[in-house]
Amino acid sequence: MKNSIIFLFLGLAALLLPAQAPKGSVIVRNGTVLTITQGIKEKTDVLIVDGKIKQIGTGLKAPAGTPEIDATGMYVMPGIIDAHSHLGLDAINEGTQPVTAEVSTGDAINPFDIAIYHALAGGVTISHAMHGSANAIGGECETIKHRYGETNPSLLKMEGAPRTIKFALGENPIRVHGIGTQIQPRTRMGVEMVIRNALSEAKNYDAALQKYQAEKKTNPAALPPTYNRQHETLAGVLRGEVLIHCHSYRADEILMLMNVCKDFGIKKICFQHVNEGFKVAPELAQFGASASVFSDWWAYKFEVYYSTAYNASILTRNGVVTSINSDDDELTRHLYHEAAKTQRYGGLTDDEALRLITLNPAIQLGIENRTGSIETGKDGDLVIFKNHPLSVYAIPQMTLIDGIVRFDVNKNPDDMRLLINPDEKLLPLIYRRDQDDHCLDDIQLNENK
Amino acid sequence: MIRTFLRLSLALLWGLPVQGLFAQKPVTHTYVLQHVTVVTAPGKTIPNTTVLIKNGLIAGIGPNLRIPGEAQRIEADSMYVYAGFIEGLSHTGIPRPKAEERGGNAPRIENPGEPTYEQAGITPNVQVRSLIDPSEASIANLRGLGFTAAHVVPRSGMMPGSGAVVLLGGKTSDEMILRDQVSFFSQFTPARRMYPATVLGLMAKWREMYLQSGQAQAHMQLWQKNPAGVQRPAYDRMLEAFFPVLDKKTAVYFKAQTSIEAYRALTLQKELGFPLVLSELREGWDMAPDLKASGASVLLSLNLPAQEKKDEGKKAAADSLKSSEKAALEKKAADVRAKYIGQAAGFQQAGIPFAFSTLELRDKDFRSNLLAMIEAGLHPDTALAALTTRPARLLGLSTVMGTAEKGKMANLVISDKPYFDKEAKVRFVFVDGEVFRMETQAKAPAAAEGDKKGAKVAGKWDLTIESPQGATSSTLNLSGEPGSYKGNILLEIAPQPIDIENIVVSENQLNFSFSLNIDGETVEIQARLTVNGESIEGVMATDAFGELPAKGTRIGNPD
Repeated sequence: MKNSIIFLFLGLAALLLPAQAPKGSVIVRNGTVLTITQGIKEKTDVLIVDGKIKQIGTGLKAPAGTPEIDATGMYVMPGIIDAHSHLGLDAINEGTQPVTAEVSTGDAINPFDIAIYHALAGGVTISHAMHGSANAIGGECETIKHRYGETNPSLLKMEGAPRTIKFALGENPIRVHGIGTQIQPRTRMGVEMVIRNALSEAKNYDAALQKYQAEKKTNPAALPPTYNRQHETLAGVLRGEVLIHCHSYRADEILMLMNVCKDFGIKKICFQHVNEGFKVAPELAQFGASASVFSDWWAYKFEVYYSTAYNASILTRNGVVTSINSDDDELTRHLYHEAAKTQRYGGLTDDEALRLITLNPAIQLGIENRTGSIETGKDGDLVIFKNHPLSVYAIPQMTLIDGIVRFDVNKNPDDMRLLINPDEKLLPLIYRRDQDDHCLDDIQLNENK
Repeated sequence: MIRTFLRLSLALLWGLPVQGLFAQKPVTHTYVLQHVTVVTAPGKTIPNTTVLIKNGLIAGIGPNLRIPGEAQRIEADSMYVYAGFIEGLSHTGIPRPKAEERGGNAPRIENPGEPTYEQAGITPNVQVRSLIDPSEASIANLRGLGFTAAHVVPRSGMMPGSGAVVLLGGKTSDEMILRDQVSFFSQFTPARRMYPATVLGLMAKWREMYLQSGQAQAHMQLWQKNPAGVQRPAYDRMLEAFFPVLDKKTAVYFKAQTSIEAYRALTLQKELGFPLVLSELREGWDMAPDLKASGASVLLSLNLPAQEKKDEGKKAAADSLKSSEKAALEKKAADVRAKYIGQAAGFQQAGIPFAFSTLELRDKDFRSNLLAMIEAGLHPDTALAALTTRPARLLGLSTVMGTAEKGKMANLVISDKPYFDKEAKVRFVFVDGEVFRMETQAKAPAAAEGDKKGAKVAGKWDLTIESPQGATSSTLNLSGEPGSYKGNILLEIAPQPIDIENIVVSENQLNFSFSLNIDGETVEIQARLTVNGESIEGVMATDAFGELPAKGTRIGNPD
């Protein structure tokens, strides 16, 4: 529907076919396969043909010429999925107004970002490259596959993944807009009103559009409402075509947004960070909302002091579909360790812990029919570990996307940058650990004025 | 003729002395070049022949022309004649805007989400002819390299305005204009601290305006067809500027230096369906198949990474690195540099026709960069086509320019050796049938002549430069005689005086340039100063920061 007006004016449907990402065939032999949905299969082969998992079993026959990977003594698990990331983006926040539903991080993909390769080295095959949290309603986000080596940004997009959008509650939008430029929202109440108003306007716009489409059949002088990209996107949210991923911390505001969703008939929502989720876990489960949390990150601002490392375990045991995310280019490299922390804090089983970084984030992104577990018919996204992925000794050996090896620990030169600026100082790749989250990148705060 | 008549009548109207206006005109508009080799088009050469130029046109090329008695003979024997070069896209003759306030002095923005169109850098309604300054030094500089025409566009914002094809000669912008409103220029320049502040907002705004302009046009057409019962459409200058693009009569020239930017422009083209010319492409070496599929035209950048040399950054890296690391890095840098230089040859091999744009070109690098591309495999004929026939075709001007043939405009460049020979020097340039003579050793030919009657500029000058961070003082040291000035400038931020180059003195105007190394990046600064006795005033212009006002006095004799 979002493109309906484009088609209306230009009739260009045929030209919108996406470029094709490369796909490969490969057979991974004799590994311990952690399927996630069908238990552990010892000494098992996984056959991938043209980017899809064709067969799982022992002594499989592969088509002639299919390359083999020997995974004897190794663990094979589905590619890790990070439901909250900002990697591979040239811009994160269009922080100039409280609602920017019209923008999309899909327009800012930077396929040269070395962080994509680093994530592959941590077994992460898919990231949810999100808009930041400066605005109450930020932009659409992009689910990207880490096809490092491709230079066409569109080829990193996971074709067919549902559209998602970033919402943000609490301190960030209040700081940027309320305190920064002295407009609504100045308080948590204001954030709610900004969201309600934007959704109401979108509803009215959609109604006007429907009315116009009916009227123009009989009245050639009928005029459409002025094209408004923000309303178009939010109308998609109201229709359930665009999934909300909402930056949130406090229990009260989490309940608030579920009420807003109820009022507008929105059924699908994933709360991000959701540090106080453990306080409202039954309510989240009852609504059908999901939660994507840090393992144990806390106290980096006032609204995140009431936090616990038991959050993921409590949410899981209350029936909330929960994932563990990074929100950070460095943390994403060891999400398997982050997941393992839930075994120390809350005693989750291996299966429950692995789901936090595979099938559950896939469900939250609406891509669980293609990723998140090793099953025939799913995408050939695998990571091969030396030692169990939940062990402190785990080391990713190889990461495959669509049957193509994108990371191999044995073919891993020092400098994997695709491009350097020959006019700049020649410096080796420096690995920097940021001490802050990226939710407010691109924003100049005006608080002191 | 019409132009002459207009000027005459205008002069009479305003009571100006007609004599004064015509005083500088040549006595004849007929010229003849004998015993020259004419490259009529890429790959087509006529040796030892005669060229006759009359009334702004090439009146004939061949051995047996009748030479009229009033023809002035140009001393071009044994030289090489080419069609004048055309800049596919440039800012030649367009002054840089004043530098904006930044940092602590920057004004607070009241409502960053709802800027005016102008604040957001959205001015597609602007016509470049209103911005052209015929006295801009870039015009003479480009002409000195062999360019006779340019497709020029405004500079600022994400949609700076429409472009025009101008001749690089003439005293007024109207005189220079050959064809107006030939393009819709756009670039990935977000508004600073206002919507759209990032590429995210920029892409969204682009789509929204394009689709809204489609609605506005449909509404306008509906109303014009029969206004009865139709709500009156509102006029909107910005949306109306899109109409020729919607009609596919005008192409969008999108400045896209990196492959990422180029793919973003292709994304918009694919979704919206407008004719696209990817411009100033620098990093498109992997893009050939996608470009072919898109149907977009392309203008390649002539701006290349600096050649090895004076790379202080390399030294700094060397100290802290193991030799193996250093070697690996240097190899990587060399490989990447080779990709930039080889881009044009790659496009040639892929069979993708291209012209050149010069938005980011430093004049003095033009010939060396072009020759480097040729050394990397670009055929000289392809290079010539990219400078002549290809841009003419792209701009719909093939019938009037791009080749050296009878009936075409007399836009010609004449060099003492074949142009793509390393030693070649441009000796004459014809623009619209008027001759410009180049001094052999001077890069900026106007300079040498101008120096003779120029103001006395030698001396030590105390110069204060107003930067966004505040005023900074500097000392300019100029010595020598007219025609052979040299000098340096000592800045607060640099430990040593920096040699200045391209010193041009014309009447009371002093121009020079110098480059500054800031954090490993070279910044090129153009000074344009007016000398008035013992005081001096003007601007320091950079691509990155715009124009910084500068002012000072003479404090003594040169060191």
